[in-house]
Amino acid sequence: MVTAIGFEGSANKLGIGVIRDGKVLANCRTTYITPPGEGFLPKETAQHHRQKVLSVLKQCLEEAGVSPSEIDVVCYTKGPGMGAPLSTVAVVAKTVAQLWNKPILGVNHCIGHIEMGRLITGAKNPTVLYVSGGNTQVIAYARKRYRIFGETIDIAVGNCLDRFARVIKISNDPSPGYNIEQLAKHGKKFVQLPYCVKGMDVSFSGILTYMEERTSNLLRSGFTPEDLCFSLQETVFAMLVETTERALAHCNSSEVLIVGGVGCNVRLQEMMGEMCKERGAKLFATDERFCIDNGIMIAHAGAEMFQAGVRMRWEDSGITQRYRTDEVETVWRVD
Amino acid sequence: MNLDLRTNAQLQIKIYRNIKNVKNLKQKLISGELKCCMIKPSLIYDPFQIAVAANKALASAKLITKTIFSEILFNLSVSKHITRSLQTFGIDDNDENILVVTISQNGEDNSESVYSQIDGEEVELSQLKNLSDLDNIKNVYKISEKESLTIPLIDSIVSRIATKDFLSH
Amino acid sequence: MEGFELIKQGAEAKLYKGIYLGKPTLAKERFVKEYRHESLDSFLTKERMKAESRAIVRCKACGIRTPALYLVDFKRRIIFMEYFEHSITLKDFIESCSSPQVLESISFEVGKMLGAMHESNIMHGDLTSSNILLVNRDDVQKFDDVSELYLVFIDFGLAQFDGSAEDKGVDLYVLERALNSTHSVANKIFPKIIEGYRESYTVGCKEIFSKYEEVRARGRKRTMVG
Repeated sequence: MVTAIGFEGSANKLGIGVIRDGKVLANCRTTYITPPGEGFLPKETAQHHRQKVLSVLKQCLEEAGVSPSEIDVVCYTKGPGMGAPLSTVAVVAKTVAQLWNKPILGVNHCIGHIEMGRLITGAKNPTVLYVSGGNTQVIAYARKRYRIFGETIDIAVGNCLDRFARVIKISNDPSPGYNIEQLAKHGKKFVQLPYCVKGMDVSFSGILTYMEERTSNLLRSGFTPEDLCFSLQETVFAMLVETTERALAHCNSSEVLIVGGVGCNVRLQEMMGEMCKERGAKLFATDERFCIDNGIMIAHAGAEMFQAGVRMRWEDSGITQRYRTDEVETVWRVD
Repeated sequence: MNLDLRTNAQLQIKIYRNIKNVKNLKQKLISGELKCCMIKPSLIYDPFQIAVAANKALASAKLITKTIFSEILFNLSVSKHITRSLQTFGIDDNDENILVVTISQNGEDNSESVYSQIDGEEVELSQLKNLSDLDNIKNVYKISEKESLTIPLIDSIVSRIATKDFLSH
Repeated sequence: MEGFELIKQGAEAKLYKGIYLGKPTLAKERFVKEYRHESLDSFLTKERMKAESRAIVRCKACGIRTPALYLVDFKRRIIFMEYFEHSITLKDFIESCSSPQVLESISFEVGKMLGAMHESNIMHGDLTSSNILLVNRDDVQKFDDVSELYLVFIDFGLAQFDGSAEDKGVDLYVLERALNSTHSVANKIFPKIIEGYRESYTVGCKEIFSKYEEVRARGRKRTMVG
């Protein structure tokens, strides 16, 4: 029975969670939201995390009803992500671990998403679509690793959506993606946008550039922001569903799991669900508690690793901005 | 005799040599009296080539030329120019050998009435290999040496026929 | 579909096998994807059918074997093409092959053809070991003797023809990743493929390799920007 605490801060969400034996005891989070038209930068994001981390930690321990002595392992996001925010949170996790005299474990952010998704949904061996502001990957488990079957060859889909949100100056509260989703629901006219799938990979910079250059013209020629949000979603999500479908067919799998912030998008879930139905596959998705970056996923993945005997030396407890999903040996999985 | 998809049609192909009345036949073709397709055998490598061209004609919703028979000639060609195609593949006044294609559809078969008007001797389809002009065929279909080294000729030909309308050859 | 039997439902299309115009035929039907917006779906389908046909014909022009095309029906969204009855995918071949030399020589051949393809500015767009067939010359179901086999490339729906070094680099990258995620011997096969590639695509492949390295590195160096 492992009780783990997890610290997540690789982007603009700061999350801390406590898990015991696969049960969520607390999942606290706060988001650094920038004004409309602006994205978040490492320095200010790290500052936000520094300001909030202690209060979130306190809140988390209170909610979990757990004292530091009961914790078996302190987990934190080792990477991938933005340097400064990652460091900030890592420092706190390490300090806390030393204070409480507990072992420390660095966790891969993407694997956190996957393992949490599997836990919450019960999906056994799904093809995973991991989509967020910083990542877009199609992952399948094979030969002791989470293999990346397909990914973006330039920017992540969330990044594409976020940057489009800036073009039409939508609010970033609660998140630009959420607001695009709401606007899209009222979109009626479909405008043809560049569609780019290369094998199992996707490319979003083309469609983003197109939107950045043509939006004002499109708005002038009779398309509403709602229409643009609608068209953008339909196109980028179709690209994601297509690459997932390819991986599904290639691996002969019958389960799809969507994780990551963009996974909260209901339209994406609908489209993926439609594709799954056509193929006789099952779709698994989580809600915003677990889709969006959070601390509990780090705690859970860390707990799994810890139980499987993974340990980390203090010297190795750094952060890394670049950390591929397939670099991790999934020793906790027995299949 | 080949079966065409979903069109309930059947193709019949015959070869005739030593034609005596080619001018007359040509006139009847133009006037529409002769309902068949007459092709220069020298440009045909294999009956399958005709099957693909005919199938395409029957399967398409709209004809580009006037009749199904001229359509077959047009489809056989890689040129988008109708007259040129018809002239290249269709028979001319100097032809001594002709290849005749008739179509029976929905039980209607006019083949016999076509054959009765031909003054020439019918030969076996297997004779086609003696009448095909391979160099000319490769020329007309623009098949390079490189391609003919590895790709079966019939493959090169029919693939061009199948894609002529949206690809340039 | 009358007279045809469904043999596979791939990601892109349903594959049917049957006799058409007297020949063993594969009917590839790009069925409607309900999850896609209607105009996006019809646009993509038409584009892909055209791209596939163009790639198939252009490969032949540079001596690379592809299925013969019998009918391209845009209305029904079906391409009728040659069916190779006695064939095995490269994927299955690799998994069942016990001789490293055979694997290496086949990989080299694949590379040579890829080089020829790229030299003619044909980018496959979806290179995986499932999209390359080994066919027995003598029409028998026997795949142990390499001298009896020839290679056939299939599945060109995502093909492109702009000929940029970046696109070609991506093509190679996609193949490498596809091999890595499927075969444990990938790290022995891919270098051989590159060797064969270099041999047939002599001029200009340097730029392609630098683009390939660039795209490869991008995967490893992706940083999150807000």
